[in-house]
Amino acid sequence: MAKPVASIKDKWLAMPIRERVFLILSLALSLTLLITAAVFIASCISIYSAGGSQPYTREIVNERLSAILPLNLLTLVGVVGLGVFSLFTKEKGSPRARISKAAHLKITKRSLKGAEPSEAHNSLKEKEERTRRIILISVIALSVVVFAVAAFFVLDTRRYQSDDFNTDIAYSVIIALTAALISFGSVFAGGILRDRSYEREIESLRGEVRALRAKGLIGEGAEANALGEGHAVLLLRLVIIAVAVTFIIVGIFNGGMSDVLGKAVRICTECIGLG
Amino acid sequence: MKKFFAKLKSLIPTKRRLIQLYAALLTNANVKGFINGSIYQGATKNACVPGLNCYSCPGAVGACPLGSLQNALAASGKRTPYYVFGIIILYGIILGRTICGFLCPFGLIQDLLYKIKTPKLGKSRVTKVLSLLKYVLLVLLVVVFPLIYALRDVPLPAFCKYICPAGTLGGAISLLSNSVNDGLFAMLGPLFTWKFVLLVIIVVACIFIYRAFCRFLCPLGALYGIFNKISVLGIKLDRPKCIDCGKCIGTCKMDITSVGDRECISCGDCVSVCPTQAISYRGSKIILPENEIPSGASEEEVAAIEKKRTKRVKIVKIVAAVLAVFILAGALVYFNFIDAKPLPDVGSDVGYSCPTDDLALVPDSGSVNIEDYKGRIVVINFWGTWCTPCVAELPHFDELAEAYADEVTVIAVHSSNSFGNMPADEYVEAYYKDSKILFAMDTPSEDNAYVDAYYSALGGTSTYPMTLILDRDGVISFKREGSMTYADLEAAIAEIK
Repeated sequence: MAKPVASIKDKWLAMPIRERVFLILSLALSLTLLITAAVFIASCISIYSAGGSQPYTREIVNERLSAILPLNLLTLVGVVGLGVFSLFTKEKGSPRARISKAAHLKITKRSLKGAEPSEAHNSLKEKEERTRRIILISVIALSVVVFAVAAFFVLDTRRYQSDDFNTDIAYSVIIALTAALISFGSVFAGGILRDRSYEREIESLRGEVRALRAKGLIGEGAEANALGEGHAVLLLRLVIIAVAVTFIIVGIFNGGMSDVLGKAVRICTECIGLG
Repeated sequence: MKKFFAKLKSLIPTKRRLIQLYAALLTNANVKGFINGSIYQGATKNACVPGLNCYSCPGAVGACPLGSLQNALAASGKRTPYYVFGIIILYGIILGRTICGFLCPFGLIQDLLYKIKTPKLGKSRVTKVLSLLKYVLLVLLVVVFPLIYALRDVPLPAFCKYICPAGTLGGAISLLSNSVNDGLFAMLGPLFTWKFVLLVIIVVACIFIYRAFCRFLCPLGALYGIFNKISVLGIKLDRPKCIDCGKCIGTCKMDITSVGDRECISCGDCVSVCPTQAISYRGSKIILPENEIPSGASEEEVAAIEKKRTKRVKIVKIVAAVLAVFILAGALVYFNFIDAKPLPDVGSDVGYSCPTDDLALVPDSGSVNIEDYKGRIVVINFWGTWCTPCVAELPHFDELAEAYADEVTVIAVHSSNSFGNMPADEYVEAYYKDSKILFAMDTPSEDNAYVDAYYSALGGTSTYPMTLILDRDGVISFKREGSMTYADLEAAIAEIK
């Protein structure tokens, strides 16, 4: 029989006073942090919006920082104070285990201990495997199509001929992020559908295990799986290290290292937002 | 009371935290840079540090691998970027995302922000999918845009420019905090506003979401993650011992599917929770191989062998710790005292006469000297082909030279940096065709081959572009660090007239 899920009110009432105070204070701190961040952002935008050829000066920035100093101090006190208070509260319990559906299926399969499942289960298994293959192929196909269309626009070098780099790049980024959103949405949905397929297979397998146990054909518990790492990985590592070292040596002689130094000893103004 | 002391004990930094602090301090050992507001310009910047650490940060003593990669790709028309590729591949195959968990300074900042006691947003299917975003940013901003703009000879490190919070925090804010760099305020505009807003959002996100930047946005983590499964150091799972209980995945705050996959930063949180001790660090046996226990050994013999190994482990740890302390102390002394070059005299500012050095002209042979242009207004622009704002503003100077040909001379002085084997003037060639600007080359200073002599003499430290305007008597009447528009130039000329 499934455990009844405790309501938020029950959980709140079951909490010791100290934990309740801690929760309220941490929520208050979260709010303060968000407000502080919003104030910083608003101040920055308002300085820039005030206009002029040089909107930012040290005087203006210092003036704005002084204005929000009480809020910053309050936030700092909150952070430190709550940190100290947390020393007097209970340690949180360990997080619950997370098993992927695929791993769950593997564990359940092990419970069979070599016994053959029924025809009905085997046919369900084939159907679910086919479903998962279709989901995988659909997600991959959709992602490939969407990214290919985006690449067609983004990689069109004719679109980057103006001097307004920011607008050209922003337009490409919007296209790429839209493609990513569609693709990620399909991955998300595909994941849900795949998990449901696994759940159906697991449920069917559990039924098989129960039936076989009832007939006394298998015992309790599962066997461990034995898999090992081959020497191929070691060889691959050595090859990659050799390639990397070769590249570095070639790069030193062809001037690549000097390029790195030449750029690194100068302030990259645009890299740090200075124009 | 016992629980209180146990909690107090938990405040002692873990080994991983100590390594993170050590790595952050070692990669930013140029502490004097924060005090005097300048960046380090020494030879150690030939090498890339493993983690995300902007080379425009005053403390940085090495180059950022991500920034170097973008710049190398932007210059790939001139040479194949073997060096940067080699460094990133080497770091990846040896360390994988252990770099993220142990060596990245920005990773440390995120870990510390997450310690603030607020309610947290745990991982879910959404965060797992969102962790793919960093691959999109890697392809788009780190690879595609620099390569596309390389075709126009415009260097554009797109990730650094539009996203990287390490540059905004470590570079911009650190430099602007020092009053010596007040001139940099003139360069703040829409780009800084965007980057500052993004920095605040990322910082807040990292408080509520574990390593939000690392998980969702960092292209360097995406790159290193490709090597994670096969890297020499990392987390490994002893499959025969694993009972698939899922405690490792439940404990892990990253979006892993399995222990040691591309999202794993080798923090080791899973190692202690595994009930069958199936999880361990890969690579430990290189330094400390297991002792061979002969078959048929008695219990006492096995205990003696294990005792020997424990002693060996202790000795290795002590030696490593002492070595590490010496290296850090040595680095701090070297960068802050031994290698501390005096700041160049701010010899020439507004009101001073401009030094009259001969500068070699390109492409013509011969030289140019400011003395020859007394009676005319002279605009001197210091620039470099590797600097996007410099290249972007050059047309404005060309337009000025065209419009005021009767009274203004524009001289564009390119950095002496020879970019390895190729002479710098060959880089400049693409820009001086059909231009009224006089293109000249600076010369390396005597102290440091990577610092330009004329540029330093005129008060330049390390910011490009820099523009000076001399009046008709050769006196500096205007100085600006940062880009200028045509309107800015016209206004400055009008004031001098």
